[in-house]
Order: sequence, then structure tokens, then C-alpha cells
Amino acid sequence: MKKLFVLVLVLSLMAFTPALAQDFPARSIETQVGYAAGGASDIIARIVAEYMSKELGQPVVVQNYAGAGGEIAYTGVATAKKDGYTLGYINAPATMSLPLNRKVNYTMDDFEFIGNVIYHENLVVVSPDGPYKTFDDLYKAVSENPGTITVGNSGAYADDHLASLKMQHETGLTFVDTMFQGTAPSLVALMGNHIDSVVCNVADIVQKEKDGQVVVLATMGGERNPLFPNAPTLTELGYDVVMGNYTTLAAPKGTPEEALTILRDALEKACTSDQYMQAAGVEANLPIQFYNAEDIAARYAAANEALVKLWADLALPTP
Amino acid sequence: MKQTSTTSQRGIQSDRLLALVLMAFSAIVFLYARDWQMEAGLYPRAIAVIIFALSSFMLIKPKEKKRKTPGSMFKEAIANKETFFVVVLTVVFIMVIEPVGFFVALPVYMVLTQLLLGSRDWKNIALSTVVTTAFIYLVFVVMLSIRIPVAFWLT
Amino acid sequence: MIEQLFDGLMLALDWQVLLAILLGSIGGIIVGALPGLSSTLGVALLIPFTFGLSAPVAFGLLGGMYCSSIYGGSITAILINTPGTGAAAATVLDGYPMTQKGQAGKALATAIWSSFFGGVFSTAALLVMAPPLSQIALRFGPPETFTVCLFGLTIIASVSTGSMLKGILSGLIGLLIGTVGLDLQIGFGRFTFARFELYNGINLVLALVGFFSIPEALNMVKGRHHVIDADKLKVSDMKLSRAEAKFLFPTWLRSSVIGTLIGIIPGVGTPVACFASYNEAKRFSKRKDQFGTGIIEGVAAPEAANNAVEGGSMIPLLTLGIPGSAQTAIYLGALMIQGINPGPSMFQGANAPITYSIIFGLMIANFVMLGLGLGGIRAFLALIRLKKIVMIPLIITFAVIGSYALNYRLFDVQIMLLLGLAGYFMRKNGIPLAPAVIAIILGPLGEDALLQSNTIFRGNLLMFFTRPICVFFIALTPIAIAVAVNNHRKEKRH
Repeated sequence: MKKLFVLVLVLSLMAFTPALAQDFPARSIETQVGYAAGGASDIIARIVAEYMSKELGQPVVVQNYAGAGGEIAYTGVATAKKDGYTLGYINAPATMSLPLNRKVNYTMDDFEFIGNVIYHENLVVVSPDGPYKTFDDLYKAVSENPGTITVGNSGAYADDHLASLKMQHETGLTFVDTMFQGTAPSLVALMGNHIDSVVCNVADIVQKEKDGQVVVLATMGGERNPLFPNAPTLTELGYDVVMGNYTTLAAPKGTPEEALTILRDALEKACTSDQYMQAAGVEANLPIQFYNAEDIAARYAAANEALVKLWADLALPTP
Repeated sequence: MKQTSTTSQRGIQSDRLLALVLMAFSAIVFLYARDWQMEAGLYPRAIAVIIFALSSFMLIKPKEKKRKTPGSMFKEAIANKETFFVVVLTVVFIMVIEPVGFFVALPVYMVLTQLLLGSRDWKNIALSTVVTTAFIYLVFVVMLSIRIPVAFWLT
Repeated sequence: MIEQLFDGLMLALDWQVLLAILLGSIGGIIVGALPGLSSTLGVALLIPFTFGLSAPVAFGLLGGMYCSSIYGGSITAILINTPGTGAAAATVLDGYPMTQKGQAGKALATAIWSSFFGGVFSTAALLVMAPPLSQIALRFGPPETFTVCLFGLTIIASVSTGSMLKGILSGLIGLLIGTVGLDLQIGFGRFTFARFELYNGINLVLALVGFFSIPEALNMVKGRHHVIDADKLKVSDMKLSRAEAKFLFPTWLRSSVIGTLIGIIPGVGTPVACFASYNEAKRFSKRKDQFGTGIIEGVAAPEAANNAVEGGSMIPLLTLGIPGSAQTAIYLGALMIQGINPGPSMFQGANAPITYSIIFGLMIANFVMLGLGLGGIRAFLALIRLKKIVMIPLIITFAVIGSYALNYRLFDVQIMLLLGLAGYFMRKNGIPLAPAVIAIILGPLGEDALLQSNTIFRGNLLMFFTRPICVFFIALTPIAIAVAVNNHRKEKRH
């Protein structure tokens, strides 16, 4: 009698479990973000999620799996079920640099690109209270006192660190790389004048620059950024340094073609819509840049090559 | 309240036993981290050494007098068997969440645990199980759209 | 500025905002009370809802959740010796003994009034003194953070009830747990066993849930047939008298200042605040030896401090865009979703009224929390009547779901359980758990800060002594240790 009771109880509660899926997408889609809530990567993911859900007719949910330089999310996507319901954001160079540095459980071949949403270059910032007003000032200071000027970054071999290393390699300068757990603490240390400079990305300091809390000395883009008209590019100054960060939505390799096509389509529609561009580009001030799957695949291949070369040139540690 | 056992003067004082466990633990930690590079390894190794040192101090100068022989430990374990079974049930619960689905595992866990602990109050068992399961479902699945593992045969 | 303040207040007094605050607060009390659900989780879970809402409404919702969830943890801490959130970890020390003495109602009343005081104090500080206080956040570079952590670790010595040796061992175990993850300088994986889920270290929430919920639930198994006589409680026992409030005022003030300051320093958070203020309350009390037996200051101090962290943590968030606590880190995301960029611009021009409405929303949330907390005392007391046999699987269940909901990983649940079993083993052997928790927070923070300081000083650690704040904390540390050791000696003689 009691056993029957338990059985009935269990069976009736099983009725709570969600029903079987038929069409794609038939339920909510998860997009994994390798960075904490509040960062640019997280915000863009949420905005994209909102607009993609409109296109797909199903909720698109953002989940943060911060840490390990994004590795947790990258591995999560690479090893997720290949049914199209689990996607995630990968980055260049971060996703490519991790396998070069340590043993990871994924390779770049484990991803299918859906589309790129963000591109922004790295740049060098200093505190307005400091002695450096132009990049030349900084250059002089560092070349006269090598190994004494600190430059903060967001973590060992994160994209900021790599940009800093590349910059030092090409300019011949020797900074003291100071590691932080993320860009935000490095900027705090800079604003408090505990370190001399920081290498970070556009999105990290757009508002701070407007508020006069940091000064951009130079950018590492292909051309000058209209947001910082007074900051030269390192290329302008004669150094072969172009470093930037791509944020790309991807699915695990092996996801069915039909699902991929639907997702790629939805993303493209979402990212080219006026409301999205207003919400993400203007209101949230994010450096949005859409590239479709083919385009971004080519860019990633090129970026990967450049990174492998950089790794060898700088003799960075390999697993 | 000190307990001095006259019938079993053999055996290790419980603090001494603890000390030995900690010393073994810290030794394992130290050995595991012995090859680590200076920066990363120094800190954990230092901690392990201090734990080892303090535990050995505890070994030499234990505070409590409660003695544990294999016999008394066995007796305690029997008395602790219910706790042990709750732990086992919990481990099994966690293990089956993914295969059978959370909303099957949960009611079974709640019912079985209460039965194991001796309750025959079916009203309480049923009520607590249904309310908890319904609450979690409503709040987490319905309101917050959190993905909870569903039985594999339903996907 | 006055018109902006007034406009902000008007924005916050909108019925939709008030409704949002109410809903957030109710949710907050539930999330806070349930052991296994952390207040950070609560705030994070509400973020998706803020998408379509206007800023004052969105932050009313979040404010209600933040505020009430920190308070909510005290309910279960007091009644069943299981803190619902990490912020209430110190509340069990005197809260549960009060329940055992039949004073649960008074303990609950003390908790709510203390939380209210702390929250209002820090929100007022936020409102009035945000810009100058934000400078404190900036002054805390890596060297200062390191010395604060060093000093903070001395709390371990005072929080070690019983054998100080075991307390230190607990702290060391906590430090060791804190080393799990990738190291800062080279990304080397320590104790990660090639599981990338561990690369970021062991999440504090898992440690809190594991250490404070599981051992308690398992402990209940043995004593489950013993029920606290709820009929012993008289109505007068559910209020805080005027005289008691007057008595508690210095404790409230001191604890609120501590909480606010800790909130301003990024990365430290509520669990440290509650122990730090408990410590200080004990230090300055005329009846320090009664701490731990169930006295109201023992509940008032941590509860005021943990809610004071609220306002304090918003200061660097709003003025500098740097979150002061785990919950405000999530707030940052919510701000950006609203298109608000934190920083000095928030207090200028057209942005100012919205910013003030956010602050007023938090202030109002404290009042709503007070209402719910006071009104709910009778209902909360019913918790004691819950049979332990039911509570055991209930607590474990919420520990499981609360660990899972962080990152949707069963791995996290397994880690939580592992820690729980370790915690149970520690408890059985007289090793306190609070020092381990403090060490798990301050250890990694301090180690990173030390490594960064070492880099900044180019290896010359003597440079610590060139910085006034560092010198201050470096000097305090041995003093605090000496005092703690002395107190322990005195206790033993009794």
C-alpha cells in the first residue's frame, strides 16, 4: 500500500517535467558567456539574446561561466550537446591562445561559427594624474627606465596581456606586466595611481574616457578610432601592432545544418536590425560589428596564424 | 565533561587521531605540490608545512581525553549509521539527478530520507514532498526558466 | 542638487517602483532564508526581468532582493542554526543560543531592527557622502588590499571558539581551499586535477552552503527527536524594547560603520563584515564572556554590519563603476542593460535624478524589509515547529538546488557536498568552520594582492612601509593577534 502510494506520488510528479521537443527551436536556447555579468561580453550577449529571441520565437538565455580566461565557457560550448540548444561566445584571440598555453579540452575545430557580434581593438591608457600625456611621453619614460613602468592587464595570456607583449616586442620597450583578475581591477588600480598604465579594450574604457578618468595614449586598431581622435594607432607610429578582440557566437561542431542555418539567419537579422543597433551600439555604447559565419571563419583562420607566429616569436610557454 | 575510559586504556585520543589525519593530509598536499614552480607552489607548500607542524604539536599535547579504540569507533559508527545513510542517500540523489531527471529524483529522495529516519507520518511526508517539489518547479522552472535536468527518456 | 534629489525621490515613489520593491523584498526574504540559496544568486536571477523595465523599477526590484536577502539569512540562522546566506554566518553564534533559551522572537526582532539600521545608515552615507567616500575605494590599491587581508585574517583568532590551535588549523584549511584554481601570474592550475570547472577556484557560495548547511543537517540526524518547546514563547518576546534599542545603539553604529567601510573595499563582502563586526562588538563589550551564550549584541552586530555592506558597496559602484561586493557586481550588469554607465556622470545633469531614484529605492527597500520582517516574526517562528525529520532532506535539497543554480553544473553540487562532508568531519572534531570561510575569502584576495604588490614594488617589499594605510594595518595585525591570544588565555582560566 505504501509502495503504491510512493509510486503514484512519483508518477504524478513526473507530469511536471517539460514535454518532448519537435521543431527547432522548440524551447529556450542557452548562450554561454565566459565572463562575469556586467562586462561588455555579458551585456552584448544579453542584448543579442533579446533580439534573437524575437527572431526565433523562443527565449534565448544567457548563462555566465566566468573564469579561467573564458575557458570554462569555451569548453562548455565545445562539449555541449550538439542539438543547437546550447551555444556560446568564443573570442579571438582568447579562445585560440589557451590551447597554445596549456592543455585544454577543446580545439578550434570544435566550433561552428554562427556570427560575430563585437570587434574592438586594444589600447593603452593612463591616468590623467600621471606624467604621460602622449604615447611619446610613455615611450621615452619606458626606454629610459626599462623594467620599471607597470602595465596592468586582465590576466596571464589574456588578450590584454598578449597585446601588451606584442607591443613590447615591436617597440622594444620593457614594461612590467602586472596581472589582475580581469580588466576592472586593473583600471581601479590605474585610477588610484597604483600602477602606471593599462592595456585593455575599447569597451572597457569608453565611459571612463568620457568622464576624464583615463586618457587613451594609443590604440592598436587598423585606423584611428573616432571615439578617441587624439590617440594615434601604433601602426601610425611605425609599429606593426594590430591587436583586437572578436566576440563570436558559436555552436559545437556537429550541430545539425538545419539548426545552424536557422540560428545564423536569426543572428544576422537580429544584428542588422535598427533597434538592435540603437540599443547595443548607441545606448549601451558597445563596439558592435557583425560578420557572418563565412566571414568570421576566415578572420579567425588568419588571426590564428598570426597568433601562432606571435607565440613562437615571443617564445611564450607551451604545454 | 571529561570522559576517561578505564576499560579501554589502549587506543588513541580523538585529538591524536585527528592530528594524524591532518598530518597525513598535509603530507599528501605537500608531496602533490612538490614539483610546482616557485611562485605557484611556495604558498600551498608553506601552508601544508604549517598544518603538519601544528598537527604534530596536537599529537604531542592533545587537549581532550576522549579515547577512541577501533572498538569504540565502530560503536560510534553504528550510532552514526543513520547519518551515514543520509549521506549515502544524498550522494545517490545527486548521482541520479541527470539520468532520471530532477523532478523524479527529488520526491523519491525526500520520501526515502524521511522514511529512513523513522517517520511514519505520511501526512508530513506527502505534504513536504509535494510542497517542496511544486515550489522548486514553480520558482525555478516556470518563473526563472532555469534548465533543470529532465529525465533522459523525455528528451 | 536639491531639485535632483527631490526628482529622484519622486521617481522612486511611483507605485510601480514600490510594487517592484515589495516583490523583490518578498523574494529576497525567501531566498535569504532558504539555506542553499545565496543572496548573490537571488540578485543574479532577477537580472533577466530588468530588461524591459525602467531604471527606477528595475532597481527597485533588485534593491528589494539585495536588501531583504541579506536580512533573510538570519531567520534560519537564528531558528535552526543554519545561516540562509553567508552574511548570516556570524548570526548563528548568538542567534541560535537565544532560540535555545526560548528567546527566538526577540532574536528575530533584534535581527530585523539591526538590519534596518545598518541598511538605512549605509544608504544615507551613500546618498550624502558618496563622492568623498569613493576616494577611499581608489586609495585601496593592491598593497593596501593585502594588508587589510592580513589584518582580516586575525579575525580567525578571535572567532575560534574553543581551541585556538584548531581555529588556526581551520583557517589554514581554508587558505588551502583558496589556492585551488589557476594562479595569477602564469595561469598554472593548482589542485585542479585538469577539471576546468575548478580553474576559477572553489566558488565561495559552494563553501558557504557546504560548510554551513550540510553539517547542520547531518547533525540534526542524531538529535532529531528533540524538539524546542515553541510554547515557551510569550508575545512580549517578539519585540525589541526601547531600552534594549538604546542599549544596542553603540553596537549598531559601530557595526554599520564597519559594514559600510567593508562594502567600499572591493572584493571583501558580507561574510567578512559580519564576523568583523561581531569581533569588534565583543572587543568593546562589557560582557564579552557572554558572547556565544545568546545575547542581543551578538545578533545585532553582524546583522547591522551585513546590511550596511549594501550601501557601502554601492558607493564605488555608482561613483567609479567598481562593484564593492558580489551582489553589486551583478548590479553593474543591470546598470549597463539600462544603458546607464556608472561613473561621475551618473551624478550630473539629467542622469542625477535616476541615480538618486536608485538610491532612494534602496532606502525604501529597507523600510519594506522592516515591515515584512516585523510582520513576519510570528510566521517565521512557525519554522521551529517544523519537524527535524522533514528539515533534514529539505535543507539538503535546497543546498543541492542552490549550488546547481549558480552555474547549472552538477559538478558544483558535488563539490558542495564534498565540502559539506569535510565540514561535518571538522565539526565532529571540534574544528570551527568560520575561520575556514574567512580564509577562503581573504586568502585568494590577499595572495593576488601580494603578488601584484610584489610586481609594483619590483620585489622590494619594504616599500609597504612607505604607504600610510599599509603601515596602519601592518601595525594593527600583531596587536590584534596579541589581544586575541590574551583573551583566549583569560577564557581558559575561567
